[in-house]
Amino acid sequence: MSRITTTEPTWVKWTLIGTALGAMALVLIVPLVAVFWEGLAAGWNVYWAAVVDADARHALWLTLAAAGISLVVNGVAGIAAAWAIARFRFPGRSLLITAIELPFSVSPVVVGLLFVLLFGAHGWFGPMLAAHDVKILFAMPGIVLATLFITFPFVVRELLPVMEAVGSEEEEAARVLGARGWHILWRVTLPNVKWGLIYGLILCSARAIGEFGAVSVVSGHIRGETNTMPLHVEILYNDYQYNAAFACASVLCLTALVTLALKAVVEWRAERALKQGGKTP
Amino acid sequence: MSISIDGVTKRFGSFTALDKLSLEIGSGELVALLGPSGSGKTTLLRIIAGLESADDGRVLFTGRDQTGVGAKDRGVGFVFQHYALFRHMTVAENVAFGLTVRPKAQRPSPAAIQDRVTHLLKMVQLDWTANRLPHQLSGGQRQRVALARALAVEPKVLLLDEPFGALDAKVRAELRRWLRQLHDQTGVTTVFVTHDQEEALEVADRVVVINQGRIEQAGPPDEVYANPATPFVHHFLGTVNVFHGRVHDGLASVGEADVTFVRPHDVAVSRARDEAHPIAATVKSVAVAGALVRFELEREGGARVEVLVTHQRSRELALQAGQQVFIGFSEYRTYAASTVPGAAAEDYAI
Repeated sequence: MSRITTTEPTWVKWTLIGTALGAMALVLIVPLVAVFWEGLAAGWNVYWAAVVDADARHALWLTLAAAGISLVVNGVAGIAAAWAIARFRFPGRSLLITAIELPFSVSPVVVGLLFVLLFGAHGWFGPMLAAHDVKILFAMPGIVLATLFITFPFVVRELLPVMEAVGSEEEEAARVLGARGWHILWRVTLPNVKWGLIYGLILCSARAIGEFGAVSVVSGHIRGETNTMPLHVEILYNDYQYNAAFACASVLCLTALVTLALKAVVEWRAERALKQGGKTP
Repeated sequence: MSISIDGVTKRFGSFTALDKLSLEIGSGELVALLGPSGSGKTTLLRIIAGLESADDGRVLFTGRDQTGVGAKDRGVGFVFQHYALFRHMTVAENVAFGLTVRPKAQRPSPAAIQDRVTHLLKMVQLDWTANRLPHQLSGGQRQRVALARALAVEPKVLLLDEPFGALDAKVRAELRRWLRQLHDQTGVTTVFVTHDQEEALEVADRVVVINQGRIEQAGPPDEVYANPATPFVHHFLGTVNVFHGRVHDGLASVGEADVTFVRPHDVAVSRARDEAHPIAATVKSVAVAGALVRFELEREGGARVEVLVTHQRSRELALQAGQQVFIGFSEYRTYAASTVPGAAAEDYAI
């Protein structure tokens, strides 16, 4: 048997692996451990008090509510947009694809300012909203809108390549067999893109829960009312309540770890489904 | 159910896929739409199914205009080249799909659906695969499942788009015969699209040759093969040797604005020059081509001639590369050069 010429000496291999692992530990693991360490530094009681504090609970509720709404709205809108882009050729199609990615390229703070510009007291729709006593800025609708905007691309981006790979033949087959639109969606289209959709939704929720910049601008930081969890952490930190800040941060970290675990499971199952021949023949 | 296609036109941008095409398909007929890729044959099939809409013209089923009737309401069975089985459903669920999506009032009972699925899977000899997923089957088996699925809704018309195109030669030949049998049993009006002339000639009652969105010729296989109406049909239905010029009493004359087509098995070869074999050529190669033997000959000036003879005739001639032979034509057709399509342009002056 001939030697594989591209094989590097063992020491090169282990140096590279060591560097990668070391960098990961330094950048990811150490801060993560530090968050829990600092949170628990003043003891379990302080930690628990910070987490069950009324403001903290409200912030967590608001964060999860905004994430939940984003999940539903972006899920439905994402499926519709990805389907339309994958199935039809229309003028402005590539422009639409670019536009969908816009939230990725615009700084979240700018997104927040954009909503202030639209709905603020001196904004385009501000006077009209004030006249009808509708609150968007410095209230929950503003937070939800900002989160929706920031997280819109995730589902579409994950679904689009999957839908294009699956193709439209199965949908056509279903149509000729007499299936109505809903049947085709529920029984053919969605089952075929299931893993892409779930993966997109996981990324969407992770981003929604962690969103800081845009929400920070539109929320107004009213404790117990318009503070999301990331904003609550910032306020506690600025108030020199380090242990409480880290305790709340650790809760956010936990949600992140749970999403990460979910994502790993989904990737593993999707890969298995693919190996079983989910691919187009 | 009979199908009338009445002046159907379809354009994709500036490309005309179908050009005022009209065709009558009788009830219970098995028709092949034959043509090269891009000829519009698949587009025509999809318009019949309602998967595409015509820009102009109509499709009628037993006299009823189908314009505005969606694919789901036309009652056709459609078989795709790449099977298009629902990949996450079992074989049985695939076959049952057309019945389970019916509105409640028209839906058979679960037991009746089960019976029908079993019956159909038995018919395609795949009842043992009922609980498998499509990817666990071979290509030929998948296509038979696709056929069973299409037949489950008792379609009035069965449409097949290059149904055997993705399969290997042996399975393809088997399924061809099987499709013919199936059609003879069920008698459902069937239209299938193919670019394989052998397939069309072997299976169909009637072959419709389509080129550039128009019908070149329609007729029974033997007639289309024996009496091609146009140079295109002649050229498309099997190999031809193309000669510029006209044949007089077996002798070729040069330079006229005519083109003569001769099929390889209509070229007669002799080792001696005589009246029936007036044209000199040199043997370039001798090769076995299945049941026949193929000679590659070269005429003076470099024009090549392909000849097919029986093994017996080949033994009699005992030809070897480099030998001089003489050829004549037992059958040939001459066309005006202006009617010969570009595809036949890799041709040879007489």
